[in-house]
Amino acid sequence: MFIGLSVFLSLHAGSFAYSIRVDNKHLNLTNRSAQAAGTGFDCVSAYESAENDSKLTVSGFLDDEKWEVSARASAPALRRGDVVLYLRRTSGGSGSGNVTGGTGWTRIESSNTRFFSGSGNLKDISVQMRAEGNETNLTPGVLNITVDYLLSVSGGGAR
Amino acid sequence: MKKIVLLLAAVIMISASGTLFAVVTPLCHPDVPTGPCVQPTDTQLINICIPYILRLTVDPDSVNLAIDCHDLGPDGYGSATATGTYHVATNMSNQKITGKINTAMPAGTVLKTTLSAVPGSTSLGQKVLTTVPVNLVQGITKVNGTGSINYLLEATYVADPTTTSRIATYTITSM
Repeated sequence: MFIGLSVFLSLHAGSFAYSIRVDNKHLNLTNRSAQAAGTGFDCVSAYESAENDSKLTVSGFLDDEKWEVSARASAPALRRGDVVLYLRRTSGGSGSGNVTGGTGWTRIESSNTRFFSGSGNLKDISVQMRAEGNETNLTPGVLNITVDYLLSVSGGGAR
Repeated sequence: MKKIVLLLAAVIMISASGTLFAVVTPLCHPDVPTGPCVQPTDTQLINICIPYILRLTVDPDSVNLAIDCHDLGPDGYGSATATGTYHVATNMSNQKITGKINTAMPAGTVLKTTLSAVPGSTSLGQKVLTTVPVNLVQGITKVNGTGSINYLLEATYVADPTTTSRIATYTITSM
């Protein structure tokens, strides 16, 4: 009886293993700015990742279970407003689920920002990142930004 | 005694079951920010390499300074002025702008320049341009700004009538 009940409990707990995973833990953004012609300087710099540099995988859901992905970013330069970070979804990934929204650039703040939503399980949802800032306000060197991707249930609540 | 042990085991297991259910549910809802819930999260570290930026341009590319015969005063002294602008952008601190000309001015003439300050910096006022760099603006720090350039050509009766040109070079560098 003890063994039987223990097995039941383990299986049940396993069925709630919702997860979100990003495959590229350290991402380097490269400068995509072009110096404007003419007098004066356009000092707004843009740094971007490639369209498929980061891929998100959402798992642990039934096909009709809805979820939402949020993101938040943290760095002193973000808090000062010297840099603005944007994300956009560039693919729908693969799997039994569906995904909607997030294909336009979404500004990511230090608090949770809704990015896109979907249902079911999806693998390799591509995400592109863009950072913009006034380059004369940015101290030379490596600027680190931490981005958290958060998964939450939407619609009908948790099973 | 055996029945009591089995009953106790069942009570412990039911309690354990209840604890497990409380830990794994519910998943967080975006519209309900408070309350006990599980929010799966993954983190990514973004690296952005910010380069050193040090840019300086002057406008226009050339200016004319002409002293007419009637501009000469009774003391044989004459002068002419011209203006321009400069644009500076840097993300560094404590930079300065120096100026020089490519060859010495003809005898009896002096070329002077004044660069106004951009925000946060200090203009060092009017300076004579020679082939040796002279400091014109200092304390330039994290700025994208525009300043004025004012040239003053002075000539005395010693100067030969001629038309000549000089290249003025402005450089932004560390103090």
